[in-house]
Amino acid sequence: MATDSDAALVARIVATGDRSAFELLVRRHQSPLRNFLRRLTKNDAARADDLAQETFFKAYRSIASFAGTAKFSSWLYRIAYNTFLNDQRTRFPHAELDESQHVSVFNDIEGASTQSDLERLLSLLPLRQRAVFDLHYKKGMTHQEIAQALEVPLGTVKSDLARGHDALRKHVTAQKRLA
Amino acid sequence: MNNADLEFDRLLRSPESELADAGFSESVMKRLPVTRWGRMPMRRWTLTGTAALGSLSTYLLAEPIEHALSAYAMLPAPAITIVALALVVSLPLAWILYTE
Repeated sequence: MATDSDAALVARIVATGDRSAFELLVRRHQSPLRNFLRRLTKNDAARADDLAQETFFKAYRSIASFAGTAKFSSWLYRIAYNTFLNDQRTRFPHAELDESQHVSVFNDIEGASTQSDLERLLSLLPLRQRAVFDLHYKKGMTHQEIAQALEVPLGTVKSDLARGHDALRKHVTAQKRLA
Repeated sequence: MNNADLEFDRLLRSPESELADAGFSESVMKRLPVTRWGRMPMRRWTLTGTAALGSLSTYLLAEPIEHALSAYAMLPAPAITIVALALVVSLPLAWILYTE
């Protein structure tokens, strides 16, 4: 069963309520999902793990509604992203959740030369761009899969990637020249 | 693409660290809600067992009950059947209406 595809495990859960099949899905996806949520929560590990747990609960409750037309992981990231947004609204009810804003605060940090530098840079990106970057570069998802996962138009994904990529690259290149 | 761009792209695409499970999956499974999917196997066995028990009871008790009824009942057999059917339908119905 450990080598079964995600779709096969989901089918088993829906048909027989097999909890061990769901446990396999949790073990298989826990690390990338928790990493995704850590990136969204700016490395708040405890909050990210709580959100990851909630994501898996929601996925289990509504697993029968998983149509199988998209990848299971895309469906899981959609639940995680919506769970995060709801949590964000609860925690900061008066904060503007403008996902389209573009932050230009890169002057405060030095050029990225290591992974941790890059993580710091990524944490300064607007919320949705952070999600798009993570799903594209770290999870290897296509533009179409990201659009489905975050429920945004395909053009938005492309422009988020292009704008974020340009901003980060310009900053890094400038810092390297100065160095 | 110059060297800086390539270096930056390499950084972006570098694989993220694998987070150790450290009891996370176990914690999720412990707190997993019981859904109708989770109850399904038990429900299936309950239905099968009840049906088997009902069939066995009918097979074993039908004849003695018929003898007892014919010996003591004042009503004719068709009337008894109608009363029995009415009870079989009305009692569960009354229970459902009462519990809802």
